Amino acid sequence: MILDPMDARDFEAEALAHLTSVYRVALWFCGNPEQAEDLTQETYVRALAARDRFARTNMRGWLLTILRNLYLNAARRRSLVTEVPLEDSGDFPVEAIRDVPAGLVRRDIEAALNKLPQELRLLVLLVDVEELSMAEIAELLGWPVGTVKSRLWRARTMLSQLLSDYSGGMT
Amino acid sequence: MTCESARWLFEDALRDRLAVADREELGRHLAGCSPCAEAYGRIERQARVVATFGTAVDAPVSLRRWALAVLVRRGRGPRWKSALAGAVAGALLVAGAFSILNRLAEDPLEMLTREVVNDHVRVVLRQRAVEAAPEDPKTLQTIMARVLDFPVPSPFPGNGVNRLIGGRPSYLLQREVACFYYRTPSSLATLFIVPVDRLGGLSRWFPSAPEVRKRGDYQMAFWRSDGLAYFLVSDSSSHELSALTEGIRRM
Repeated sequence: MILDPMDARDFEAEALAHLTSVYRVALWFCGNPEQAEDLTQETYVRALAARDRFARTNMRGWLLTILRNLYLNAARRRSLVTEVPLEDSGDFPVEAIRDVPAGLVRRDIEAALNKLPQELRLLVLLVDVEELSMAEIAELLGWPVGTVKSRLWRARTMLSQLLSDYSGGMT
Repeated sequence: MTCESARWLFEDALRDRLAVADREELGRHLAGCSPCAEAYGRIERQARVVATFGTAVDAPVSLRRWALAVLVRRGRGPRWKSALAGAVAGALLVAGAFSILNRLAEDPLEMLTREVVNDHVRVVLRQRAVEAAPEDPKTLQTIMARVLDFPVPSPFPGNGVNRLIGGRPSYLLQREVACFYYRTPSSLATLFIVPVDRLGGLSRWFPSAPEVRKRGDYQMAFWRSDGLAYFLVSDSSSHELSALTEGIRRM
């Protein structure tokens, strides 16, 4: 689809509006602010180059897909991606999900999140911070929706246990 | 509905993405199944905690400058961390950050209004991030004190017409802010509070008596008091916004 000059301006404005979200997801992928900034820049460069192919629906999803592909390609080149299969039991046991303790501060939450396996941390952040739907996450990560849900349940279970270690406030 | 089926729907239910029939059936299940109801509550609280943490993360200033430069210059490649990128960014800074934003045809208050309205719509209208019971403004103030590095006044609890329904520490325009949420007779409102001296050039726009800016269906009342800048946004009527503003100012 060819964009006329007015549409190009709208494209830029909307792309800019998603900058924070794209950067945050890059940070959730990379775990490093400098790498996240570079990855975000590369995402926007690719997006600008491909803007004529943008279908005008869900720009954030389109940007995040570009970002994911760039991240995976770079990670594979650096042999950073190890495809460790997570067991998907398909169960949703409730007994192990603990309540959020009182008195948590930012660094407690950050520390607990950082202790999650990278895939599970990414899942929780995509759901709770970026507010992506199960279907959007499934498309972004290339998983079935059922896998997204079962892994997210596991992530929440693990995170609840990690957060409970920080109960009592300042650490 | 079985427990497994119910738990399958939890994440969509948290974000109000269920079809009406599913939502009603889940509601009936939770009303009769305490393990599922407890688990749902715990997941909901965990999600809020994570959201509070994550939404405070913002794109660094260097990245924003770069994005503005690249998007304004349209198609010229980035000079990622080169001296040229620095020179461009520096020149743009000298020209004034708001002149960059004027590229998007906005004055500073227009930019502020846009950000505040967007945050109100994104957060409040999705009914997220209520950190405390509505009748407990002191608890909200305590939560803010633990997270924010400036003193936050005890929030206006409401007066029977308007009602405090929650709040959270948040992040707006790369600044930490206190957010309080209110229910007005016709809608919802968000109050943001931040020290005036952290607004930089925007601080001179904040009057001691409230003024109002409009953006589409939304209005933003803004004023300063005791070193703090207040902005209150809602799509309620002007009369309701004014009444809530006066209630807050009298605290």
